[in-house]
Amino acid sequence: MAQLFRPNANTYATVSLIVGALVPFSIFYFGSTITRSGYNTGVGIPLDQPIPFSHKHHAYELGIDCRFCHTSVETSAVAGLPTTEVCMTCHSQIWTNNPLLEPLRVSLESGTPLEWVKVNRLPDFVYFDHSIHIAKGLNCNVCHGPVQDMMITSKGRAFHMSWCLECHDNPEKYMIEYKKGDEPRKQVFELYAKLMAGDKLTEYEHFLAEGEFREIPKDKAHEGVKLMEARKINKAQLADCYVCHR
Amino acid sequence: MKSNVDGANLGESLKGKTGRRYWKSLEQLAGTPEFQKWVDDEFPHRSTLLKLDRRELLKFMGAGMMLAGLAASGCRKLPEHRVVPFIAGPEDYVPGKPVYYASIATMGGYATGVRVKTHEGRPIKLDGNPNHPASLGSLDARTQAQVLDLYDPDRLRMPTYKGDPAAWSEFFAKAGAKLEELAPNGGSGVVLVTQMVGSPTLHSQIQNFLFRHPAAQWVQYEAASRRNMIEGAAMALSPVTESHFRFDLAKVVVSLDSNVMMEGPAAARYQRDIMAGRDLGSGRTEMNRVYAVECAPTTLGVIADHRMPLRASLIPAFTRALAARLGVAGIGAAPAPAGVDENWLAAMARDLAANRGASVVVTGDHQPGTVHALVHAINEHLGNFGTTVVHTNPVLPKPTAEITALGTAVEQMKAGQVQMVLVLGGNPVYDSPADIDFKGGLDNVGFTAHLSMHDDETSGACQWRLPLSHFLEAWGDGRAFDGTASIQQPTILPLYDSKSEIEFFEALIGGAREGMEIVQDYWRGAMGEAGFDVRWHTALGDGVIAGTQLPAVQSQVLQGLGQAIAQMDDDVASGYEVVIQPDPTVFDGRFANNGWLQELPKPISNLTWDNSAQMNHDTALKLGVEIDKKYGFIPADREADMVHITVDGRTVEAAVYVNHGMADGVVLLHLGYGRTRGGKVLLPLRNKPEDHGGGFDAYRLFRSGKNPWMVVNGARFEMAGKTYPLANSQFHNTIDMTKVDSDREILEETTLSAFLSAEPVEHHENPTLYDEDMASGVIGKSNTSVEDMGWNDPNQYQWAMTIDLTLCTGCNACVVACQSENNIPTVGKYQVQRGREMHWIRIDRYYAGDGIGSEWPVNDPVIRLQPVTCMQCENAPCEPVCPVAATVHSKEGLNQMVYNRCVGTRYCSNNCPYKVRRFNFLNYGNHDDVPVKNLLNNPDVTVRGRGVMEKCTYCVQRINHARIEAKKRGDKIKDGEVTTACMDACPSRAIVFGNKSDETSRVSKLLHDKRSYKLLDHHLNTRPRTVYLSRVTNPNQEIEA
Amino acid sequence: MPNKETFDERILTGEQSNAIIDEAIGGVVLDQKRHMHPEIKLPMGLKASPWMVLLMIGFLFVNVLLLAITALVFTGIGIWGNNQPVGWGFDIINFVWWIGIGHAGTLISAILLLLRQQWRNSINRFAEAMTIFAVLCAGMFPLLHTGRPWVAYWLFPYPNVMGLWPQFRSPLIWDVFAVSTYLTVSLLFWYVGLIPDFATLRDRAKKRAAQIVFGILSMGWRGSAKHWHRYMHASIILAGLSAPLVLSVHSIVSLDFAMSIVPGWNVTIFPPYFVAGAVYAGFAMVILFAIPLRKWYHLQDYITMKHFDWMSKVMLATGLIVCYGYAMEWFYAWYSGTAVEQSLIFNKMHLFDAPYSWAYWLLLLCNFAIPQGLWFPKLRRNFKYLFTVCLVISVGMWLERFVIIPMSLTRDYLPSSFGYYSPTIWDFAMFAGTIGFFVFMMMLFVRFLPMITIFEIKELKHHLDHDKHGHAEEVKA
Repeated sequence: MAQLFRPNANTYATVSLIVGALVPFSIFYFGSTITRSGYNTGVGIPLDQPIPFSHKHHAYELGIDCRFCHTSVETSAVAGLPTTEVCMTCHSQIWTNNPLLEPLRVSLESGTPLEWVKVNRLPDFVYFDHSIHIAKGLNCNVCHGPVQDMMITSKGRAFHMSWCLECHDNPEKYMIEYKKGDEPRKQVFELYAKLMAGDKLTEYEHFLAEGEFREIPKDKAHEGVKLMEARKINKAQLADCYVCHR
Repeated sequence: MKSNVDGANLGESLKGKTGRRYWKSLEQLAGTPEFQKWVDDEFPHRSTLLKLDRRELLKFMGAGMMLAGLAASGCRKLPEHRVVPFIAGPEDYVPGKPVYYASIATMGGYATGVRVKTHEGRPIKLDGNPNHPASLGSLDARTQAQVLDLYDPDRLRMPTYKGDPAAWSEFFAKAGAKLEELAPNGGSGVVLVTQMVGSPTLHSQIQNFLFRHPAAQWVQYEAASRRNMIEGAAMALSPVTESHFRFDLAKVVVSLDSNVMMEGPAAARYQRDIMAGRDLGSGRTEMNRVYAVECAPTTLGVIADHRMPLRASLIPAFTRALAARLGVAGIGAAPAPAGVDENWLAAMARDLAANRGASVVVTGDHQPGTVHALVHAINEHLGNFGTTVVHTNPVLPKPTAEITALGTAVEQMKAGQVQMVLVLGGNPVYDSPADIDFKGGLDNVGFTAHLSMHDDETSGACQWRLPLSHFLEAWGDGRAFDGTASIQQPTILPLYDSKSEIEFFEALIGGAREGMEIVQDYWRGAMGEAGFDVRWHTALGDGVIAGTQLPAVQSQVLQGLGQAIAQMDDDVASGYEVVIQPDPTVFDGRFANNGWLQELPKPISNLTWDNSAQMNHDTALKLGVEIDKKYGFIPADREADMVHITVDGRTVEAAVYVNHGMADGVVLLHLGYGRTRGGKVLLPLRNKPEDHGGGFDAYRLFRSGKNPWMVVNGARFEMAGKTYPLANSQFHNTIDMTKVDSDREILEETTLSAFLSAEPVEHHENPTLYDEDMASGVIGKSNTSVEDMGWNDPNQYQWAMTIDLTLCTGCNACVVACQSENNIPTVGKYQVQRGREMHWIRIDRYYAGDGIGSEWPVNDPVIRLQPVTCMQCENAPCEPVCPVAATVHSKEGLNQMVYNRCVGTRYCSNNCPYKVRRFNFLNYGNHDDVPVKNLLNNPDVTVRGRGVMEKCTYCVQRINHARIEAKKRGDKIKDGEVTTACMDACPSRAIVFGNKSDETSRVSKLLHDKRSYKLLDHHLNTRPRTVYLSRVTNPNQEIEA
Repeated sequence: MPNKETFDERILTGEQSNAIIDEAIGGVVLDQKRHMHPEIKLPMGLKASPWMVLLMIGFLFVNVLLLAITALVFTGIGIWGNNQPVGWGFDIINFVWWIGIGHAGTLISAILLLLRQQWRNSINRFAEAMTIFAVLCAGMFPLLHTGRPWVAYWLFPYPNVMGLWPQFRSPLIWDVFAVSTYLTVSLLFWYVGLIPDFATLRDRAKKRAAQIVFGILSMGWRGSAKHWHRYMHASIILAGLSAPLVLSVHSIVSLDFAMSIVPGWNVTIFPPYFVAGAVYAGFAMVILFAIPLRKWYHLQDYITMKHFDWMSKVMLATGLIVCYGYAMEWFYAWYSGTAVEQSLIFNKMHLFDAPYSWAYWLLLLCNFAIPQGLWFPKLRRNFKYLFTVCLVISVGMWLERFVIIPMSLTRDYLPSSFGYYSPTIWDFAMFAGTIGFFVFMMMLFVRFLPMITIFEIKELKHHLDHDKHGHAEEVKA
């Protein structure tokens, strides 16, 4: 009877077998890559705001303390956003006619609050508390990236749970003193002080300012442990689920 | 509506710092999309009103869910969110931190102090105010649940005239004109109908109004008033006074068909005092002794050392017999009524006599005045006056409801002598006695208005329907049971275009003052100008106005009362007698639209969503209820037979519920159901009738006669030949203390004498072959010892709880507290029938007696209660079976439940021997179409979505807050710094929570109490962190207990 | 169907030659007409064949299944009867039942192959098909019974952004692995077994399309000695792989219960007891299909009375093991001396006070009483009896799971939490739907694949001829 397949059919067969074996792996690979990509996490993607506010200008060039606007960052779970009046403390004097600030003036006159677009958002089942992280001397950039360099604010980290756990599992690996002997709460803002003063940064500090997330150098490990104990960080309890999920 | 949003004008007037805060907080609230959504739309639910089905209903009840919450899985883009800062921040406000206010909730004219927790300007929880005499920090279920009413989407939103939206100004113009027109003849033809008025300010306003219109009538009516009590006082005492009890001083308490712990203005306080006298926790070695003679089991009867079921109509005879035994003057010899054990009575009498000046005899509000009078005589005879029984002048300006006045007013209306009727609050069309046709009266009046939170039966009969402000929205004041006055301060601006009674009257007499001014002006007058501002702010802060408690007055029993009563012959039931009482949850019907209270299992009967004709098993059989061939008794888990009850030609059709422990021949009906108008929760739904009970309207048997609460004779019964599904959260489960179930070791109890003589038991660990590692949910751990689990690692907090079964009365305050703290949804009647209620804490009710065999029914069973919630087992069976490690153990010994990790296999629940886990079978929590409900959610607790398991975690959100604050302070959490919601609410302080690795904490002391035992631990080695203290009773040796 | 056929010891009857065998079995696939009779008269003068009717019914219920699943995913578990305290009801009952059905296939193909049982040849192919379809049905339930099926993938261990792994100590995770492995291996085994037959069909097919399809499926099988050599190795290895699966899969499923502390679940005897039950139910299902199929497709020569005799004996044996399990429950209750265990038995057996005792007694009737007839050769060869017994056993095995799963949950430790379980219309829809799916797949299988292993029958015939002519049996490589 007639030949059903031409000889090269064998090649097709072999190839198709190999491809078939690879497909699931590649699907899995691309899936996980996309999950971690900025497309999904929104890391480093500036969002357009009612007013193109620049942290670089205010926090770095002008050197305004974070807490001037984010008033409750040391006391409450939420850092808090500046009220229209707070903005107006300066902008009633300077840039009074700047068109970019029109929404601000409107807000004050009409009494309708500004609506900013949320940059760093956690799902509703995650309970993060700023005040305690500040109290333990964790610098803002660790989670928010190089805020002092952002023209338009963008997300600094993906806030994946695994990332949170890196620190909650081994806090000592991320403990550092920017200025010897200062209490942790102050430590937080020393980095910016140094930046502003143009002081020499350690390698770690430099990377932090750049917004890179990494452990403290191996040779500093023992210091980290010491700091953790000094700051009364209860490592054992830190990884309990309900620390963040209730 | 709009006036809420730009609260500017009001804001300006509220220049007080508190005032400004509300304004700001509202502004912030206005920023939330929920608020915007219904601000934009006058009737946000126009659509849903048309197409309402069960799912809709569920959405209407309970707490809301932020969809992004649980739906968000690993790789999902979160929606863009907006953040809205203030225009100008209130100076003393920190975003993300709750703010607490002291205020009051008023019922029956009496005030109870509450502490309102507000988050971002939203009141989200009510607790008791420790400074307030009627609360002492704890709060009953009903009052707690009223925070849900604030966000009830069925509330009236704006004034309407004959159904058309109208403005307040229109109303006041029309009303003013009408009053002008009637002014010449002194305003005769004007009838004011109010509920019990306790607020001094409101009363002065009413007086003011009556001064301007002398011929106007003011009728004060409320179904559940303390009419008989006042009548008794009038009969017995001179001067006529109101009596309060010092149960804390009482060694013997005798209740003659009363439940002072559930009814009356001081219920929570009395519960605290009585149970404090039974608390052995703090090393006390003596207890008070409680005797309860009652027609139906009450919370007081359940905790009593001696309980006797007795017909309500025999109580007068019993009281006389008791008085005779005690030798009260003039009674002479009186035989104990039939069926009463002479020795029992005699022993009780001796016990009373032996505790002169340290005993209390009380009787129920539904007992006739003669009984109250005789009880006064007994108390005086026992020397209790001035010690355990304190007399003050009546607290309320008009101490009692005026049923007769209401009747005559209605007659005048019908006769056309009335031109104007203003009904302020209340719902007389629904809850006036059946023989008073209030609606018929209204229909005959030219100008009728009803100020009410809901568009209820009365609103339906009035031309003007005026929205009433919730007490959390308005200024006001009130007096506690002992006269202590408090200011009611608002915690949020009115959500709708509503007014409080006070604002209403102000406007009615053409005044322009705002609520706060009105109240302030009154108290300025009362306190005097000197240092007023300081005293005012102290009063606001404390929640009570110092020194306003009424002074005790001397009062004696009239001469010859004994003889007078001895002569009277009270009518005794020949057949079955009907006893009518306000419902334990929805009360007189005012809470019928409150999902929490509707689904709250009623004490002891554990019924939800319906009322019923309750009677004991024999009575049910005699009435012709079919016995179940299979079981040999009437089971609670089948559809209930219905019975027709006819009184004076008026018939109600009620479902029979067998309530074991009631007296023979008594049929107990509860008011408050059978509502026909006023919200979606209280109405049976068109397409899913089984989803709501709605019950039947017992008011049809409620008569204006001498004692409306009892139909001693003349009630006819016949089986309706129909059945009705009752939703019971628990069937008649029984424990035979002596047989099979005894070695389940569920309930342990002892007597005081036995307890005192007993040797302290040393607490040994159970021997186990069970791999300890199985108890840790921590993945990848292996061969870790008990210590490594952190189970008892002393360096960590180790949370634990004790529940004292001696003190639990089953009042359910803890259940509502938990529901409100943890955003627990309600599920509706049908789901309850399916056994899917969501309460994290439940109060198990057991009858002693073999539940399976032939010994049913028991007509005088031993009733035992046991609150059960997650035991936080150190060796938790739920943990190793969860395939995704959604429930794991924490270093602090809690059994964590991570909602967002749960995939919902329900394996944990199957493996939980205590069955305390609750599963969201449907999307109970979600009601995106009723956004106003989301405002009630506690932002510190995740709202669980469909398909997720949930359970109690010792209010872990509170623990976390305390831990963070302590860390910031740089020290540890102090004992008592963290409390669970149930613990806060419990009026008898039965629940104690704390850190067991702190040897000095209260909980660790109680854990080593002789009475402590762990539920089922003996079998399963679950090592619960919640430990029970076995029940101790103090029986009278002379009575075979 | 005929009640009695003359019984002889032969497992291959009739005049046989390779061509006849090819035609008798392969023809079923290649010749559409073979599915058109026996003819059934339908109302309104319509005519149909059993095959068509079953296919249509199956298709109908597949749609019911789709409907039920949609409703479930959009509304929630709430549409089922599950509640507190009964977290598992029909969902897990059906899961366990279906997994059980599958077992006969693997047993026949794997263990009987290793034991060189010649009588397996005629029934292994469609028994294996049943295994695969049954596991497909079973697999739906664990997935859909979760409250949030859309995150069910969390049960698989994979590196994720949450930094979490599944709970490897949970029997449900073991299930995931057990069932997926089971499905994979069974599929492989089945396919490998089909290759030589695909070749036969390819060669006999007239239509070009059929030739190409079977050609691709047969993967260039030419029946050379080398092919046969490889093939034998492959099938022995696969048999070796899947033999333990026969025991492991249902043992692990049984651990879902044995590992828990629920009275009535926490029983050490469960693994063997469940496996026996599985084989019991599995063979019942095989016979249920074998009886009509051999009749409709005239395969009496290949599936002979001897086969049914063997299968009945296997059922009898496994059935007795199951009943031993029942007896043990009484023993536990007595021996444990604990209230919960005793009240559990009470709750199962008490005719009046136990709400579900009907299920228990019906179970004993189905799984113990009625099948005892299998002791008697006369009854074993009576198709009416055999068919009914197999139906009864299928019902009985389902009841067994009902008695174990929801019934134990309704009465556990705290009397206050005693509850009831009443399934809803959706529970039945899901169940009926899976049955429909199963039938539908079986009919497609009968239509497009040879339901008996052609080459093994030929091989068998070869052996038998040799035996007849007194030659020594030659051993294959």
